Amino acid sequence: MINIFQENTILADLQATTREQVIDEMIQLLNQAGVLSDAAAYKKAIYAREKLSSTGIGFGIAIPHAKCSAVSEARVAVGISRQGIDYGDEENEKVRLVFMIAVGDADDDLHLRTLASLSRRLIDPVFRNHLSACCNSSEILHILHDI
Amino acid sequence: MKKLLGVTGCPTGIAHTFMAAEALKKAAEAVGAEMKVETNGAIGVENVLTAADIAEADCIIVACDKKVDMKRFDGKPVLEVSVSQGIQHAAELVAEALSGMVPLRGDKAKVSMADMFQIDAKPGKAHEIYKHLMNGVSHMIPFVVAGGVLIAVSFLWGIYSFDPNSEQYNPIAALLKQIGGYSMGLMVPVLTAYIAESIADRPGLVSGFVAGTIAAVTGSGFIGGIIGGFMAGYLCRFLVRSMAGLPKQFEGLKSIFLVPLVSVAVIGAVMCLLAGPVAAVNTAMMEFLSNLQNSNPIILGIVIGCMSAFDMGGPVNKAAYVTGTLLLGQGNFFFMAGVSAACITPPILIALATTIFKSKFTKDERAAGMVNYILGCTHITEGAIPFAAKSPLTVLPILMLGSSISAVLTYLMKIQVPAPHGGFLILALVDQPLAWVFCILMGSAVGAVIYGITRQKPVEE
Repeated sequence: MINIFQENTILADLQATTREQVIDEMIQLLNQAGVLSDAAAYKKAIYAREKLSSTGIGFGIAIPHAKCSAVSEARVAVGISRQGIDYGDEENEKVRLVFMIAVGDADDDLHLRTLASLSRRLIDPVFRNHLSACCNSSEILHILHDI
Repeated sequence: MKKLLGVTGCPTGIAHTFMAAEALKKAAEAVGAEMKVETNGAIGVENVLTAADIAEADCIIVACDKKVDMKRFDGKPVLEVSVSQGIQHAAELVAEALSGMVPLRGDKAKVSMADMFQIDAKPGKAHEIYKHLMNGVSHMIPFVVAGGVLIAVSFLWGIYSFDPNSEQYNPIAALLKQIGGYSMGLMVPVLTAYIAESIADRPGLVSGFVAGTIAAVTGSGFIGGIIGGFMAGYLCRFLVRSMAGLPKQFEGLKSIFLVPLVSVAVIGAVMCLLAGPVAAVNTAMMEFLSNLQNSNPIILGIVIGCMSAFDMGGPVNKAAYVTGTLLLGQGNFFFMAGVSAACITPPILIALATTIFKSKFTKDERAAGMVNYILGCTHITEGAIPFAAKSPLTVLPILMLGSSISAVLTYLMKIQVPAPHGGFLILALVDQPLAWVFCILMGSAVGAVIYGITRQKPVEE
């Protein structure tokens, strides 16, 4: 299992209440962990993707993601919100689970495959419930390592 | 078991692509259908759909926010949605896909042999415009065929049989002519609407129909219709694109209110303003063509003959054919006679050559030659293509010569053909049927003799 999930990029209590805030909060998280070489460029790429279509996928999950050269190692930051985040989606459903994906331009297939299998797993409601029931980062990490 | 296919993809290709794939698969599993999903992700395309998959599939769901090859799905039921809809509404999509109500993708018109001949396979702007125009024409032709034949049939009772004041009056003939007239009346609106539809999809239809109707009633005719169709199409495409930024809640409002209202108002105003000048151009052109018919039947016949035989069903042939069809709509039955003669000649010419010069053709070619009699009699020029394709440089000029002779003779004898298609099946409607057949046979025979003499003996295996 490759370490695209790390405890220092998992946050079990997001403070943000809007899409802009949560993106900032999670970029900061990635940046502090040393994953990003250029946080501003990464943020730009995240917004470029959001502009195409919102990455809120329903079920209370959002997956802002970007693949760009400003990422030095592939990582997925995970955030859980207790109060819910207004992600600006038409159905007005609050987002409670945020996966922010950072992939470098040169990243190999293995990372991409892990992301693909995470994405596939997120469709499973049982898996989602397990995730949102977690209280701290180590519990989340434990579940994610089962992918 | 029902078999579904899916294609998913998003611009970044690292998350949504796979979620949509999984969601669709799960939804299909839940209702007991088999589903294979091609993922267009950052890893590359995985699980690629094969031609066999596509052939077997009951329906294809494309949940994609990026361009994928759609042409391979032509003729199959295809649902196209965004990748996030594929994730959130997978179950509904699968249910719809299994309902059997999904429209087929693409033009159902068969791939013509002209495509194999590859004359109109040139990409680029000109090809684009040709494609739009032909979309209009191919939707229009059935109206003209139905209307034209009905009107022509009414003439069997006499040319004035529709007129209650005439001695020839017959109520059935009058009714047929009336129905035919309504069908013909839709010619320009349908042409215009489907040019616009080809450019802007369904949003283009509304202003296209309005523009076409204005063109029809103001006398700017098919020239006005073609101009209107392109204007309406490009305007609607522009409107739809410029409103792409509107929030999703306005989606319905946009398609049933904003785009139709704005496009109809703008195009309608432009068409009404253009009506006068375009009608003048239209009338001038019609007069020019009918004058040419009378003063220079030989030149007209050569031009029409060469155009019709040049690419047999391709764009040059179609240009002559469409002009003939449109003139029919305006009551000119002479022009079409020459076009039909020129279109019928190439296959008949080939057939005659293979019959007269048996030794110069292989067994397969002689069999193909027999088929060409049937194709020729039913106005299917494409039958000559396989022969022309073998040595175009010698065969095409011969075909063009034969077609020209047929057309010139037809114009010289002032034969009238009131139906735009059907070959010899509509012979009863031609005013001088025997003379017309004679013209075609003359052209074909001359060409067949030249073709037979110039051809080398095949090397039998």
